[in-house]
Amino acid sequence: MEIKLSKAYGNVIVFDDFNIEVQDNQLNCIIGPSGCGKTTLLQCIAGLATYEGKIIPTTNKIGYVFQEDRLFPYLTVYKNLEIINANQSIINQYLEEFHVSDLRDKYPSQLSGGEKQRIALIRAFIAESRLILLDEPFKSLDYFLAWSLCEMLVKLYQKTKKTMILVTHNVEMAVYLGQYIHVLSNKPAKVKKTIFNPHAFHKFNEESLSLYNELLNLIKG
Amino acid sequence: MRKLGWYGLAILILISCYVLGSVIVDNEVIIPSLTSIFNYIKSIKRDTLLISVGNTLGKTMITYSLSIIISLTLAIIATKEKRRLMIKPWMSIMKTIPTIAILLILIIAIGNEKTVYVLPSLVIIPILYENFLDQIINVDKKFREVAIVYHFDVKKKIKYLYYYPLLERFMLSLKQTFGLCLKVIVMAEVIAQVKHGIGVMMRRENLNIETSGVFAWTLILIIIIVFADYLLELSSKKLLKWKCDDGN
Repeated sequence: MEIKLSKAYGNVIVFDDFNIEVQDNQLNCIIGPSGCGKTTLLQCIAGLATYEGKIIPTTNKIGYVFQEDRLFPYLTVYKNLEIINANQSIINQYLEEFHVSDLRDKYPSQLSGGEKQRIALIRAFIAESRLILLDEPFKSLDYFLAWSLCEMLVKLYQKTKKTMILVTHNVEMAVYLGQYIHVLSNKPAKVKKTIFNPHAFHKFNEESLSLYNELLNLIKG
Repeated sequence: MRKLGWYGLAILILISCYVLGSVIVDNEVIIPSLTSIFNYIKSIKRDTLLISVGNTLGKTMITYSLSIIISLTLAIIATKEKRRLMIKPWMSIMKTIPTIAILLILIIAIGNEKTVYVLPSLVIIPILYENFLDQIINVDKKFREVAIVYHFDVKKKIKYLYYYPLLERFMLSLKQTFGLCLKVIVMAEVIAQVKHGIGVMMRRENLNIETSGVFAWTLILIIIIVFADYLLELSSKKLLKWKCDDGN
């Protein structure tokens, strides 16, 4: 998937001839300094923001995990999923596989932060799409909960093999999750470097640590 | 249970204050005793009670239903700014002119019977309109984005972006305005001198200097409003399940 775009908010140029190649059926991580335009990039891909340029192939079928769960508060968990995909067996299968069947008749206000984000992840994956966008989905969760959701995300990826673009500012998470890690510069953002990470989804080792340091230096520099 | 206890205590204090007031004033014409009020209620014929209460409640239902339809229609029309500006002065007039002035104008313009239906509408339509409009034009941007991402069709958008939040707002407005509507209707009945209704009975007792009768009909009105509030609370719990913490 190739994305070439320019985008400005008034006088602030966010992207100027920005170019990124997203690897199909891989988990792509986008990392960069705060405010460099990571969320804007996802919004452009999702059609939530206008831009000049092109995204090839164009896709209007996507799943999106926002920073907040964005579950409809007046619908039960099951209904929240059903409005995205009416196939009951798929919903039930995901609910069972990720051990959240007991939440199906609950309302979002009755769920914990972690449970809500689990359902938000499932909602994105049950959508009939080949592309999943994730905008710092674990930002508001505590450390251990965030990592347990990372495990869930890996399982979801391995189950579906959908193309994923995960935006994060957490370098540790990028090293663990990103099969391809794209490091962005400050505004107007450019891709500083794209790194293939063979150690994604594995426990931290020496190579992961050196990748971690390399990413830190790239972001700082 | 504890809340109920405090509520009961508050009612007890209120009644005690009333009894104390009536003992101190010791004048049945100014503050009648509880006994004379209850005696009056006992003396009301069943038919009179049913006709008066039924008439007032019927008028309230008709007026309220029409007001909902009108205010929702206006709110939908007003989603575009130009149209909203066209409607604004009318709403401002309805909100600012004193109720009694509208009542007197209406009696002259459309007659006594129709006034009882039109006046409450003019009082509650601006409130309902503003509540509906606010909800329609301020649909949560976050959910709007969800609808864009997942390509909601028009039916889904109406149902999930507008219907449920509107229902929630409507139930809240209903709690705020139903009692008000009833009170304005009774006031209109008193002044417009229609044939039947709680207001008519209050006026009759007032002319006969039967204060216990006025208080008795007021008490009946209070009981109706409290009961209506209770029913609304129950309906809210049923309709807005997601608002209850335990989901029941």
